[in-house]
Order: sequence, then structure tokens, then C-alpha cells
Amino acid sequence: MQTPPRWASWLLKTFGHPDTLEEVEGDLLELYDYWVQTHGKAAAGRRYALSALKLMRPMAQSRHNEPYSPPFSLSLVMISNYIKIARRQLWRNRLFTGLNMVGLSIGVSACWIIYQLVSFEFGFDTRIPNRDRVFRAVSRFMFDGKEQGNPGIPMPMPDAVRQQIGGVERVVPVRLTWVETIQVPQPGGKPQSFPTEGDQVIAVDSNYFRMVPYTWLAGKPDVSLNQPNQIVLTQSQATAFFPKTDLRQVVGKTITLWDTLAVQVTGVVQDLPFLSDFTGKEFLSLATVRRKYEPAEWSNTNSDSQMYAVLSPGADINQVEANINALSNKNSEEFFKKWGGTKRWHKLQPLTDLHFGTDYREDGHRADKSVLYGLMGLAAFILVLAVINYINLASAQIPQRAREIGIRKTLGSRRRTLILQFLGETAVITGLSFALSYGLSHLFFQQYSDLLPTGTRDYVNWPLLVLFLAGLLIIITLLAGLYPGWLIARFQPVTVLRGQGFAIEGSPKRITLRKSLIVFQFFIAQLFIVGALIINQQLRYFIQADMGFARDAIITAQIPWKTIMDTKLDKRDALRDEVNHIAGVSMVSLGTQPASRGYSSNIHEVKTRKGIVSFNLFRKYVDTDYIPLYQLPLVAGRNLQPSDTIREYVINETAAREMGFARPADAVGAFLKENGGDANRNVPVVGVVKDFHAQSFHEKIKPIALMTNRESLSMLNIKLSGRSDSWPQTINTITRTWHKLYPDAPFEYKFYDQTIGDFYKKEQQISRIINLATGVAILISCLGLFGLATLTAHQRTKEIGIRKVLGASVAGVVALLSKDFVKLVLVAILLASPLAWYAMHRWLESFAYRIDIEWWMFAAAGLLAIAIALITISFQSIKAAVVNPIKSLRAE
Amino acid sequence: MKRAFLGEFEEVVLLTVAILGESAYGVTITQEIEQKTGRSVGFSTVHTTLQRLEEKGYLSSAMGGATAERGGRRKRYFTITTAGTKALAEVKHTRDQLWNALPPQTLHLLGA
Repeated sequence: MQTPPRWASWLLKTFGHPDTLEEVEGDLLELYDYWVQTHGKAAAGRRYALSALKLMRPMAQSRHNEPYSPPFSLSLVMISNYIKIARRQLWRNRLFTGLNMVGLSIGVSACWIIYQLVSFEFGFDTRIPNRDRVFRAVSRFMFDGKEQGNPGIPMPMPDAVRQQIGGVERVVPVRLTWVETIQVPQPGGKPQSFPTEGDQVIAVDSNYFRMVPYTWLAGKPDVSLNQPNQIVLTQSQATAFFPKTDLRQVVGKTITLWDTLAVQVTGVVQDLPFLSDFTGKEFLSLATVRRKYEPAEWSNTNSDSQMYAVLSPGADINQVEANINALSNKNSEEFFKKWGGTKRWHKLQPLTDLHFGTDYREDGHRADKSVLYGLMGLAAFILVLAVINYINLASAQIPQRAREIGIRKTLGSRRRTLILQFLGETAVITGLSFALSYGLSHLFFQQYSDLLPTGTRDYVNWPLLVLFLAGLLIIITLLAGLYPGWLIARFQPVTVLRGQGFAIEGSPKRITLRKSLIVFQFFIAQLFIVGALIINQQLRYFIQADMGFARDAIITAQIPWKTIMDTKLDKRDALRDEVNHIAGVSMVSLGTQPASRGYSSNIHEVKTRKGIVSFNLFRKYVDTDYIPLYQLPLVAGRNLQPSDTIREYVINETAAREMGFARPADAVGAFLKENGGDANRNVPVVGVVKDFHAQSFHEKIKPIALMTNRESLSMLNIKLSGRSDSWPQTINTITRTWHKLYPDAPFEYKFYDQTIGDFYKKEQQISRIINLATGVAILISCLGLFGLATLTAHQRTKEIGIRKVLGASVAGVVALLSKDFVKLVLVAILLASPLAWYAMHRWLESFAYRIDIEWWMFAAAGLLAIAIALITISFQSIKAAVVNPIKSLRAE
Repeated sequence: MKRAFLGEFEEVVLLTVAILGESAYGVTITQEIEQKTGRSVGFSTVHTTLQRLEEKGYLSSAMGGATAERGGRRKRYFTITTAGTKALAEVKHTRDQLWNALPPQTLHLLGA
């Protein structure tokens, strides 16, 4: 007998009318045989398929399939029954409900947080009109074989593009202008100065406001920026500069830039009510900074000179780009030929890419698209893990509901109703986990807000958020609820009610799948545990390690730099002396802290017996109290003596070694000459201090020289005495003294040990993230393990009963049940350890001073994982082991 | 009396069911029509026509007679109802009246 095409049969079965399916299928089979004999196989196949296609009735529903009328499951009684059962179920299995909630809420929180971040980053500049026609002209270079970007363009370009290139509706030049502070005159007093954001304001013309949709509150876009020395402010800035002044009154006021240039406020615009990379707050008229351009400037690319272009509707962007390149090449060719230079070309960067253009290294906040996509993948991954756990736990729970389901089925509940009921319960748990994850993500945003770009948390796009949450709820409910629901609907009520219990799929394949999932989860968990352990160890090492100097009870403060510049050094020295006399201050010194971010170094030469040695020497300007204050141990020679100029050096051991002296004491008396320093002066070394860390532990200890130089001392170091609760009072006294001498400058002090902690900010952030991830990984693994343990304990109920009857002890049974799982965890540990070792080894390599990776770390991490696994299993295994065998063996 | 309405193909199917008697089901009906009329008919057409005739009350059906060659599926046997017979008779009566009204010379020209 021939078989007709399978796909056609499938179509018929799936989409044919259910009422007549049986006879139609039969008839067609018979006819197919007949056609094969009369018309041949191919023709028969065609006819069969054609008939099947014609018989498709996809929307048809069975009219008389049900021998009994189906119960109406949406009656009030049934619904209240569902709710009651759901409530009882969830409450009776509080532990499982809780675990499911926690598990799902981890996944949901991950999704939520990452959604928040991603929607924030993608929400930038979405409300700029004609967004798809707005471009920024940027420059690209080939540099050392690598392509690099620069957000700027040659200064003459905007005018040239406006005059010579078609297809451009609007050219918008933007000049970033260096302005550190803005002085606002105060009625009857000294002007108050306001720092600008990023030390710059932008200079634009009215075109800018035709591109970015600012609302004008005062002034007119056409006239407010067409003269030199005009400035437009945003509302927030105007209110900051002129509090309690009506916005219309602000127009006409004068403020001062660069201490000298008076500019007039000619307009106030509302702050942009949406996320935008156009962050300007003060808009200087372009005419203020504009001048005549030299042709040679075509060869110059400055990131401060930028240009946006709004293309005409329908303009070909490639054509415009080519024209701009041709224009730029024509004008710069001659110059490049004459002077040389790297290859440069221009691109039109779409506005939609502006926020993601990370390779232009701009000051503003930019996001990396690949990171965002990676995070989205991560969210999906965590969610899937959580859902798999839910499925595991839920299907492990089903046996306990066997009777309920059996009775429901007997009383006429149908598959679909049962599945819907189960989905409903899943939806309830999912909903609860949403509530929980609201709290969790709230907590996350509180704890980790410094890792996220500012404003992330407050950005809400309501329609999108509602859509996202509803979609997530539905997806999770379906993913998590369908399989257990299907399991429920599948089994035979007869076997259940006859008391044969309920064996959910004993198929070994499925168990293997679950086991490999456990191994995988613990593999990840182990990686994180080892990582967290080593990173935390390294961090503790950083923070607690002896850096070679004292750092407790020391506060530091920067002397206002203008004082140094104006060489009003007496004031500074007066401050030092006064602070020194304050009770509670044990010592004061001026000089760069031993470990600091900034440094200065130069090549120095020394004449030794072996000849002239030249090496790079780091220089620190200090005073004579510095070495005692920081308790730097002198290993040879003596401390510096007071001097206004560089008269002698105290070097560290590394410098002595670098100079070629085996013993530090030999270096004392040697003369060092600074390259290019003043007039071949030889400066004697008078002392050697023990090596100390002058930079973070990323760096090796370098040769250092301490020297006096009155002019260059700008950092005040104060050693406090007494107990720490007396310090605030001492600091108050210091502040008063400070203000007596520097009434304008705030006394901004820092505890030095905190400053050193800040060196490792990045590492501390990594550590926090790793700790969090470790917690999540462990939790997820435990939930998975718990589900599997529950399932096995249930499946082996009878076995345990028989063992106990035959004399097995509780401990023996617990051990029996735990053994298999410990094996899984061991496999995971063995797999994860080499990878963890490699990853941590690579990470530690970035530090010049680091802890060693030792075997006990892996052992500890492994033991931790096993202990956690054992505790997790014990809930179920002990429960199973103490059950009276009569109970487990009675039901047969 | 309500006038019976039968389409041409419906009439053919109904007649075929009547001819086949007790052995009328999808396959035999399709084959019979093919053989008797010489025209190739699709099974789906026959099937839908049968359904429609049953809905109109001219046919009744019953399941039975599973065989191995149809994969153990039962057949749906059709029998003509009284209403069906009446409808057929009425159609024939109308036709005969029309034929009888034909002038003899025209009848001659048609070659009958």
C-alpha cells in the first residue's frame, strides 16, 4: 500500500472539519489507492494534496464531537472554586510558592532593571523633529593602522557647505567654547561665579534652535543670537543666575565670561522636556567667537568645532557625504601635500547613532550598543534560568495535586480548562513575583545607582512600560505554566484515583536533562564564588596592605590654586602654622601625598664609579614635617632641612638601587642632575627612605625623590590626634581657621585612607557586581537543585520505605539521597575550577602587587557550594527519611 | 408546497446515491460519477455537495464499515430520504413537462 504525502495528511488532520474528519480521511486514503492504480503515483499524490487543500476548514469547530454537553467552566461557582483552590494551593505550599516567587522575581528584576537601562539609552533625542534627516558631520582618520573618529570638522566647513552643497536644508554649526566660570554681578556686591558644566558653553546661531525644539520663554530666536556678545540661557540656568527675577526681566542683564568679556542675556528657553544629548545650558552667539578663517584651517580638525546638517527631504545622504568629502579634499589637498598628515575623511553620523557613537570620546554620556544588546541577552538568560526552575519546581509539585486533578477530570473538566486553571495559578505567582521584583529592583537602583547613568531610574515611558510589563507577564506565564499544565492535563484519572500514585515521566532522558541543568547552574555559581572570593581578597589586600606609610587619622585639603599662582605663599604658611597650633592636631605638613593620582617625573643622571646612569625619577615636593607625619622610615642619612628651593633629595630604596647602589647608605652623598633642569645643578642625596607605594597597586614602585620647594606646595596634610569622636570638633576648628584666611574657598577635606580606597573604585564596583551576581547564581542554582531533590525524594518514596523497614537509619537514607546530588555539584566544581583559575589569573595580572591564587580558595569555594547544596537538599531528604514507612508503603 | 431547488451537480450526486443504494459513500459516489458521466470530479466537490444535501434533508447518513485499507476508519454511508426522492421526482417532472412542451419539429431537429 502506498502512503499519500505526509504534509497533505497533516494539513487535512489539522485544518479539516473535525466533524467529518474520520470518513474524509478514510475516503481519501481509499481514493488515493485507486488513483495510484488508475493515474500513477505522482498524479495520485497531486490529487490527494489538492483535495486535502480544498477540504481545509481552519475556522471550523466540532459540532457534535462531545457525547456529553461540556460543563460551562466560566460560571461564577467555578470561578470562585478556582480562586479558592488557587489560594489554598499557594498557601498550603507556602514554601514552594515563596521559592517560585523568589526565583521568578530574580528573572523579572533582571529584565526590569535592564529594560529600564535599555529604554533609557534608546530614549535619547527621540523627540527631535525630522530625526531621520538630522546628521552630524564628523571626521575619521587612519592612525597607526586603526580607524579613529573625531566629532569635529574643519572650522570653515559649515559656511562652505551652506554655500556650495545642495541637498542640505540647514547647516547648524556648534562650537564648544572653553568657559570655566560665569560671573553674575550681584546688586551691591562682588559678582558671584558659577562653574559651567564640563568647563564649556556652546556657541551657536539661530539654526540650532530650528533643529532642537526649544520653547522660547523670552527673546526671539531670530534676533537673540545674531550679534556678538549675546547669550541665551535655559530656564534652570536663568533661575540659578538670577533667583527671584522674572524671566522677562532676565533678558537684558549682563554676565561676564573669562573674567573680562561682558555678554548680554538676550533670551531664555525652556529646558528640554525629554532625554537629549543636546545638553547645552548656555548658548553663546556664534558671532562672539567667530572670525575670518584662514584657508589653512581646512586641514585642521578640532573636536570643539562641530556641525550638524538637516538634509532636505528626499536628499541622498551618500551623495551629500561624497560632496562634503570632495569639498574638504579640494580645500585641504594642497596643505596636506605640503605638510603631510594622516588620511582624513568625513562621515555623516545619523542623529539616531549620536548617542551610541562611543568611538568619538566625547564628554557627554554615550552608550555602547553592543553592551546594551549583551545586557538584553543576559536578562533573557537569567529569565530563562528562572523559568526553567519554575517548571522544575512546579512539575515536582504536581503529584501532590494528582487527586484533585483526577476528580476534576472525572467530573468533566476538560484539558483546556485544566491547563487554563494551571496557567491562572502561574499568572498569580508571576504577578506576585512582579510585586516582589518591584521591591528588588528598587533596592538595586538604590544600592547600585552609581553604576548606572544618572537619570536612568527616573526615566519612564509609560505606554512602553505598560506594554513591556504586560508582555513580560504573559510570556512568563506561558513559558512557565504551559508545560506543567500540559503534564496535568495528560494523565489518566483512573490510575490516579485507583491509588497508584502518579509517576510523572520516569523517562531517563528528561532526568538527564535536569541533571545537566543542575551541573550547568552550579558551574556558573562556582565561577562566581571563586571570582568573588579572589576579587574580595585582592580588594582587602589593597585596602589593608601596608603601603609603606601611615595613613590613619590624616586629612588632606587642596590650598586654593590661585593663591599658589599669585605666590601669596605667606598666607598658606600662616594657615599651616595656625592649624598646627589647634588642639587635636598633632602635626601639619605641606606636600603632595605619598600616594596620589597625579605625578611629575623627569630623567635624572648620576655619576657613579661605573659611569653615568640616567633613569626616570618621580619627584614630590614636600616640607620637613612630611617624613615624620607619614612615618616614612629613614633607612640611611637624614631628613630634609628647611629650604625655599630644591637643595637636597631624600630618595627611596628603589631609586638607590636604580642608581646602582647595593646598600641604601651608599647612595647618601651622591649627586643627581635633572635633565633640562636649571643649569646643570647637582643636588645631593641626603637620605634614603624605605620603599612606599606612591601609586595604586596596579603600578610597581618607582624611583622617587622628595625635595623641598616652597613655591610648589599646594596640599595641606593634617595629622589628627586623639580619638576619632573628637575629630569633628577639631575639623570644625580647622574650618574656622581656614575661612579666616580664605573666606571665598570652601574647606574641602578628605580623609586620606578614604582617598586611597577611592583608587580602587573600579575594583570596588566590580566586587559589588560580582557579589551580587554570585548571590543570584547561588540562589538560582539552589532553586533548581531543590526542585530536583523534591522530585527524586517523591519518586523514591517507596524505595525509602522499604529500606527503612529493612533497617536503614535516617542518616543512611539522607546520605543516600544526597550522594547523587553532591556528585553533580562535584562535577560542576571540577569543570568550573580551571576556567575560574584562568579568568582570575588574567584579572590579577593587571596588578603589579597582587595576592597569589592558592588551592584553598578553590577548596573553600567548592566546600561552600557543596555545603549550600547539602543544606538545600536536606530540606527534602530529611523529610523523606523520617517519614514513617507505614505511610509510604500503605497506599498501593 | 415549497419548491425543491437542486443544482445540476447536486442532482447528479443525489441520483448517484439513489443508484448505489446501500453501498453509497464518498469513494463509491466519486468513482460512480466519474464512470457514469465521464467527467473528472474532485473528491472535495463531492464531499461538500454531500454535506450540503444532508443539511437540506435530502440525504441521511450513518457511520460504519471500517476496513484496513482506510486505516481502520469508518465510512459514512448515505441514503436518500423521502424528501430527497420527492425532490428528484419533482425535478424529473419539471424536466418532462418541458420536454413534452417541445414542438415536434424541434424535437426532430435535436435528433431524438
